[in-house]
Order: sequence, then structure tokens, then C-alpha cells
Amino acid sequence: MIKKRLSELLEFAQATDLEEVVWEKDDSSIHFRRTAVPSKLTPSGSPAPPARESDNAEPAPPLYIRSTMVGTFYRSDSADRPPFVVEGTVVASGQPVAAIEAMKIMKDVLASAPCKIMKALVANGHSVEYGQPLFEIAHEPENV
Amino acid sequence: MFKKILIANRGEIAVRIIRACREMGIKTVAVHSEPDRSSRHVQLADESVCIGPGPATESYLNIPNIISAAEISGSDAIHPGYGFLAENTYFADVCESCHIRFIGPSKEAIEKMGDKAAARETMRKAGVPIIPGSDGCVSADDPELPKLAKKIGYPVIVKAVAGGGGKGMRVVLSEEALVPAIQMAQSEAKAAFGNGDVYLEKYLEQPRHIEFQIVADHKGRVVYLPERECSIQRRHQKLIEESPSPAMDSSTRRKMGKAARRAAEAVDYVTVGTVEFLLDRKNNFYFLEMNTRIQVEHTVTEMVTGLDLVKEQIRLAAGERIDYDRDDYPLLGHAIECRINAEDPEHDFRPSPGTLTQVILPGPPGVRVDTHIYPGYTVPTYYDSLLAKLIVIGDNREQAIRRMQRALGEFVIDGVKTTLPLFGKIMQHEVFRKGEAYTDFIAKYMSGPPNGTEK
Repeated sequence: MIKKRLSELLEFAQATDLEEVVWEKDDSSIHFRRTAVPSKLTPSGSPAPPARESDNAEPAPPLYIRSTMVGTFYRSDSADRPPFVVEGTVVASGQPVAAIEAMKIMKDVLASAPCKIMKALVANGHSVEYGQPLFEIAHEPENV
Repeated sequence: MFKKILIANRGEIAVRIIRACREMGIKTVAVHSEPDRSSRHVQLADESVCIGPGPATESYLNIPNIISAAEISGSDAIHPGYGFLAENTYFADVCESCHIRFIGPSKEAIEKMGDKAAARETMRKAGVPIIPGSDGCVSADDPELPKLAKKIGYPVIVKAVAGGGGKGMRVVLSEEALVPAIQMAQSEAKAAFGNGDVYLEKYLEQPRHIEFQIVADHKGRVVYLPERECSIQRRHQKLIEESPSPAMDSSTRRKMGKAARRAAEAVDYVTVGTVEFLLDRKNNFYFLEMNTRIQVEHTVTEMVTGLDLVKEQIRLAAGERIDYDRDDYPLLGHAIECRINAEDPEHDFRPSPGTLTQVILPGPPGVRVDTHIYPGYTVPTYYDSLLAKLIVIGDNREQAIRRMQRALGEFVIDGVKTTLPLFGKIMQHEVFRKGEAYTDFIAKYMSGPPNGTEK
């Protein structure tokens, strides 16, 4: 019985692009969480424009992870958990850095390339629009 | 009444809706794509939210981002304008489930009028005259087909069930051409709408396009307003609209208006909508379709009635009632509208995007311009090419035409090609001036370059 329910739920979860599926009945519950797969969903802050080494006069423009959705911005995936990243955190490609809630559904914001979080630009619980910079970042070499 | 309305549209209609809201004391939220960041509607609204990149499918048609924008801004209603999501039943449904009022009719009404074959059946039952045709879809291999076409009477027209904008349409003059025309229309419809179903209808020669604005409240009161004539079209896109129609007498107006009212009542219509008819030379009229939204040309009706239809629409969506109970609304004059598009009429109306180096609007008396353009504005390539609606009112048709000529002469838009010169020519044309223009006017008199140097 449980096994059948499990496979049904798994099938359902795979057929959607939901990050998280929770099934509850009486006092038992089943909880799925999708492992982050890097997708198009993330930053237009990368890839970085090629740095011009010879020209030191102009500092490189800041790089950002930008929002690809409209919604409410969260630093962590629930109120009682620590933020995904803080200033100085080095993240790998595809790693969640924040979550955005839209229409009661939470979606992770993923880093599309290895990078270091330099500065968080939006406070927890604030609303964000499409294309809005969320984090200022610095690029990290691929082998982090 | 609503406290804050999100406008899920752009361009002149977004500006028009924001103006109505401001006068009603309602806060506004503009949504916009990245290239529309400095658009007029964004400047005028109380708040704005960027909802996606340029392509409409990722921004103005992006339902999750639009609903999210309504939620984060605390909007209690969404005005869809025209086009984009205005007649999308799924969107109306999502709004409802998120407790945001969709400013328009019920999703059932949109659905019933959106499927043309179903709408025809609803109209037949309601006693609204419909064009003789097939009951539902036809297929090319039906042995009864030639008999049916003969009964309808040639010429007949093949139309796509899911159609619009002239796609999937074929006029058939005689029996030999029938089967190939149906097959071609089916494959064209399949490619354009993903649905290859087609039906047959009697083809009317030289019809006029006459439509009635209706206004309806939640209590079932439906009022019709004076007709608009929109016979000047190019490939089923309206170019000029006027009210009243030069062909209308008061008894036909009353008959058609009452039919329009029955059409709206048949789907329990609420807010504002338009019932479109074709009128033949013998004053027979036939239901064409119902548009379940505010239309581009609502302005000519506003000019001749003095009503503010966008405010009416918002009021009625909020559950208020119609407080005037008259049909045969008195006419304040004769109004004409020209749709100024960023298109090159000398080169087959090809789109002409670019940056406007100069804009000078014509002025009063009797002139209204609904627009979002300004000097320095860049016309994006992603959306329709409407730049401005130029509307005039005169005591009679002759005076309105003269006023339109004067206003067209004052209107300056530099930087892109526009349809302004075309309207100058139409206003001078004897057939138009006599009020004898039918839906074939543009194809017959205005196609091809003016000096005949190109063929």
C-alpha cells in the first residue's frame, strides 16, 4: 500500500517542476525534495563579459545573480532554517542561493556558474521583479 | 470598489485604463517587459513590475509572473485590456482562484463566445440571425458536402473554428473548388492554431461591418449603444471606425441593437462587450462574433455618447449597476477614428519599428488622441504596431471628415513610416465620402503603390 502510494507520488512529482512535494495523511507524511538541477532559470549575471586584462583603467562591471521570476524573495527555504548563502559563501554551479515564492509555490534560485557571493541585495521577505539583481557575485574558477 | 488594479497590458490601452483608474481614485500597477521599461504606461502608473523579457509569451502572456505581480503589489483586480490575455479563459480562471477580480465577463461567457461554432449555435437558439452555413465542422470527404454547399448557396466561405485574422479562410465560387479549398483551409488552420477544424458559411458580397457596444450589469440589465461601422479593414484588421454608420436607419438600428442585447443575454454577459454583425445591401444582418473585452474602437462610441466605457467596465466588474435605462442612446454627433500604425502602406504595410525623432499631436476642437508615444520613444519589434488612435467628432459626417483631414495634416510622427498618409487618401476618396465603402474598400481602391510605379 505504502509502496504504491510512494510510486504514485514519485510519478506525480516527476511530472511537474515542483521543488518540493509533501503528502500527509493522519499522522504519517511523505516528503520529496528535488535535487537542484541547474536550469535556464538562473542568472543573466553570467557568463561574465570577457575581462580585458590590458585595460586596467575601467573596473569590470559588477556581476549579478538576477531574478527570473516575480514573487517574494527568501534567503532560506523555510523560516526556521539558515540562509542558503551569506556574504563570502562560495557556491557551485546549480547550487540554490535563495528561493522565490510565487502563487504559493517556492522555487529555488540556482547559481548558473561557480561564484562567490559578495553582497545580498534584497532583504528576506521583500518582493522582486523579473531581472532584478539579487546578489552581487564574483566569478570563481570552475574547479571549486 | 477596487482599491488597486493591475493592468496586464501595454501601449495606448494601458495608458487609457490608468487614466480611468486615476479619475476613479483607484491605485494602478503597470506590468512591463524589459524593452518597455521606459514606456508611457510605466511612467503613469503608481507602481510598476517588470514581468519578463521582450517576447510577449515570456512577459505579457506570462500568467504566473502577472499573477505574482498582482499578489506582491496587493492588487484586488486585473484589467486585461485587449489582445494578450483579454479573452483567455484559463487566465480568467486563475484570477478567480487567486481571489483577484478579472475585469471582464465570466469565463463561461468568454468560452461560449470564443468557440465560433458553439457561439453560432448559442445565437441561433437566442433568435439572433446567423449567416447560413454548416452546423459545425465539415470534412472534405463527406459525400453530403456538395449538397450542403449548394443549399447554403455559392459563393461560400470556408472558415477555421479556432480562427482569426483571416487565417484558414477560403472563398469558394463553385463546386469544383470546394474540396481543395477545404483541404487548404484545414492545413492552414492546423498550422496557425493547432486545430484544423473548419466550417462553411454563405459568403456575403460587399457587406458592411457593423457592431454594437453593449453594457451589462450583474442584475441582468443589458443596454446597447449606437452602432459602429468598421468596414474599412485590411485583411480583417480594422483601420477606420465610425459612429453612427452612414448606412443605418433608426429601425435597422433598433432591430440590430435588440439582437445584440439578446446575444449578450444568452451568455449572461457582464461588463462591456461588442456584438459584431455583417449587414448586406438589403439591410439583412447576420451575427459575426462577440468580442468579450474592451475594444480598440470603444473611443468612437465614447465620443458620440459622452460615456466613459472603461470606467463603466470597472464599475460593472465591481458589481455596480447600470443606472441609465435607455436604448437608442442620443447621439452627440458623428465620430471617426483612424488607427495610426507604424507600418509602411506603400510597401504592403510592412512593420516599421524604430525611434521616433519627432511627435506633434493634433489639437482641438473636436479632436482626441489616445496614444503612448512621445518624441524619443522606440517602437519595439515584439508587439502590435498601433502608435495612436486619432478620433474626431463633428456635428455630421461631412464635418467629421473635414476635421479628420485637418487633424491628419497637423499630426507629425517622424522616425518611422506610418499609416498617416493612407488615411489622408481615404478621407479624400469619393467612395468613402459618399459612405459607400464596404469591407472590400482597401483591397479594391487602396492596394498597391499610389503612383503605380511598382507592381
